[in-house]
Amino acid sequence: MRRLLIANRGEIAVRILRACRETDVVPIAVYSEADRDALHVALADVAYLIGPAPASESYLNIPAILEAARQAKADALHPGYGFLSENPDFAQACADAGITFVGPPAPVIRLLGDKIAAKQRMAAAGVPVVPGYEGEDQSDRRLRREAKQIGTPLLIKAAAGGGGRGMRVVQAMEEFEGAAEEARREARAAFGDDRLLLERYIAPARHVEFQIFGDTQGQSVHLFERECSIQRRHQKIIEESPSPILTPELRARMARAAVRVGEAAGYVNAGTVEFLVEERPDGDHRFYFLEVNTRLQVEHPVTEAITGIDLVRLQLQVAEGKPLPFTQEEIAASGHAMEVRIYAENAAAGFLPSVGRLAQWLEPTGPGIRVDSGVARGSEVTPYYDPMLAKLIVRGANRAETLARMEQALQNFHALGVQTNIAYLLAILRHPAFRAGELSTRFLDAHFAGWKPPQEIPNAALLALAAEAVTASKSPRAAPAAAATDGDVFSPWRTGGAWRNV
Amino acid sequence: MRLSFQYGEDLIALDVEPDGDTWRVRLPDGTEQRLRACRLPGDILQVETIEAEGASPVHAFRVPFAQTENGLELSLAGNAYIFTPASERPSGRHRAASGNLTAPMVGTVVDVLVREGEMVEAYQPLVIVEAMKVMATVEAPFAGTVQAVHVEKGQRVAHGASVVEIAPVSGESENVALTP
Repeated sequence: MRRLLIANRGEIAVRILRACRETDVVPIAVYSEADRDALHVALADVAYLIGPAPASESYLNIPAILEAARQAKADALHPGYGFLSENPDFAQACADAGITFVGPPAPVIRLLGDKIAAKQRMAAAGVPVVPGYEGEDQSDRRLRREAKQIGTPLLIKAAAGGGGRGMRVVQAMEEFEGAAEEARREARAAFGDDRLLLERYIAPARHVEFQIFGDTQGQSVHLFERECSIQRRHQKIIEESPSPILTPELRARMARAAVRVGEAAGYVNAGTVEFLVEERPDGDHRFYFLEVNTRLQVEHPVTEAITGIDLVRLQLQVAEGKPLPFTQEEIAASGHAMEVRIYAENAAAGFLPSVGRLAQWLEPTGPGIRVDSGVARGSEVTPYYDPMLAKLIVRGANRAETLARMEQALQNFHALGVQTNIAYLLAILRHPAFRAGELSTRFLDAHFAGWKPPQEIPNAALLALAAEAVTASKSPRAAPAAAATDGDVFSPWRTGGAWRNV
Repeated sequence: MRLSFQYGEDLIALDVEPDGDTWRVRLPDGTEQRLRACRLPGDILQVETIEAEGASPVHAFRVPFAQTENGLELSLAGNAYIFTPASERPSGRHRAASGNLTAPMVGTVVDVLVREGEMVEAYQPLVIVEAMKVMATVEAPFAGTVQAVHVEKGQRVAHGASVVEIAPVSGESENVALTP
């Protein structure tokens, strides 16, 4: 592997680019018209324009990306996450063009992307799955009969689903027909495939996933878990490892199941096996296979922090056909790690995306602190793509130390010009239930529905406000005007003109 | 001198007097602080509170700031505070209840649900704007008649751009429903 095309943008493109720099691989960037000045373009050796701003015409445009790869003489391609990363046709098109796709082979992506086929395969391999119906008979009568059998509450999912689309919770049987019809319609529109599966709805539950890795020699390992229960609208916002709920015994059982999933699918490269964990008062928690994400995850740095293994470099090695450089017994986890996602959004106004220019951008630094970001001061945040600006990852000796460090680091993360969720993240971190490790996928609904940022202003902010006003006349921008009027640029009566003196 | 600012719905007044190389600041809670301030490169305020002129600081802290189209933005301990000059604040409450409805964010119009001349109920969805996979619905703030539709499906809109105008049905107060 000598020239790697990075078919992505934002922080993950920057992350992959850095791994290239450490391994003498030439990184090649692609960008849309909205991303001409983006950080990943500035950092790459060479960058190719692949289309207009909308993702469907650029980052999802397979012919344009393959043409860029051809022009750049790329011999490998990393899809990052999102966009085309889990598209089997894209992986196949790369293979057909003689380009090494950094990820699993197309047939594996296709198998695991079909929730019905994946669930059947894993159940057959002895992996626990959520009780339900995943049959080929999709007639109304059959679905209704199976739904009755499962009982309420039950969950309707699209076979081709993702991101919560085509998903419905049914609380009572009389809602079933309407909900199934809605789910079908949504799935047909989003995926062109309206097959449904039915499951018992397990809530509250925890979302615990295992990082797995397979090589082309047939070795499969796991790199421990990440708990990602803190989600808003199926979007993870805080991830950590180890999970506060797992006992060593349960962890070992789930890890074995995760490796079995990888083996049953013939998995190669980095993948994530997602499980739902049902908490039982007697401590006999149950876990169920959910799905496999056939790509590098957003939250992969959590695993890097506890294992010391660079997952992106490992991806490149495995893609080249090299064996995993360690056995399962040689992989050890230590300490605690946590990641929060910094989004450009207005938490006070229904989490609407916030766009604009980043007038300030200062990332925290210090021991145990890592920031993966795709922006810099002056970057333009556009409405075209996912609003995630950066990830803040911290590690500590234990969960308490990690929480304290995360709180400290977030307070020293400064972003102005667009609104961010930093205050929201801090409020979650400070919540007693979060501190106690009492997490669930319903956590935010239960504790943060209708959350608003604190309205009162601390005196320190008011002092800073006064400080800005009294120093305004000395700023280069205001000084000439002030000097022109009375020659005294330091006069307290000259406040830069922006503020009204009463 | 008195400095007046708007912070959301609140009016904030700070009394500031120079005293040698320091400033005496009276805060809204009635307390008085003496401070020394300067600007560091990169638009960062260095703020020091002190007991008396020439004394060493009791408390020193740094606050990144930016002048943006929103106003003066300050970042402190994980919160962003936005202040606007008291005189320049647009009347948000009045605008919200007027019949000229605007796009809540930059985005693409994915659906226009009403036509000119149509009668609408309070809270009825009129237009759906999408950005970054998030849908925002423009709703009628009161019952009325659609006077004009300024956008069509697929069109890009700027934040604050007029999308639909409605007039209240007679007898209906304009202030019955404020946008949340």
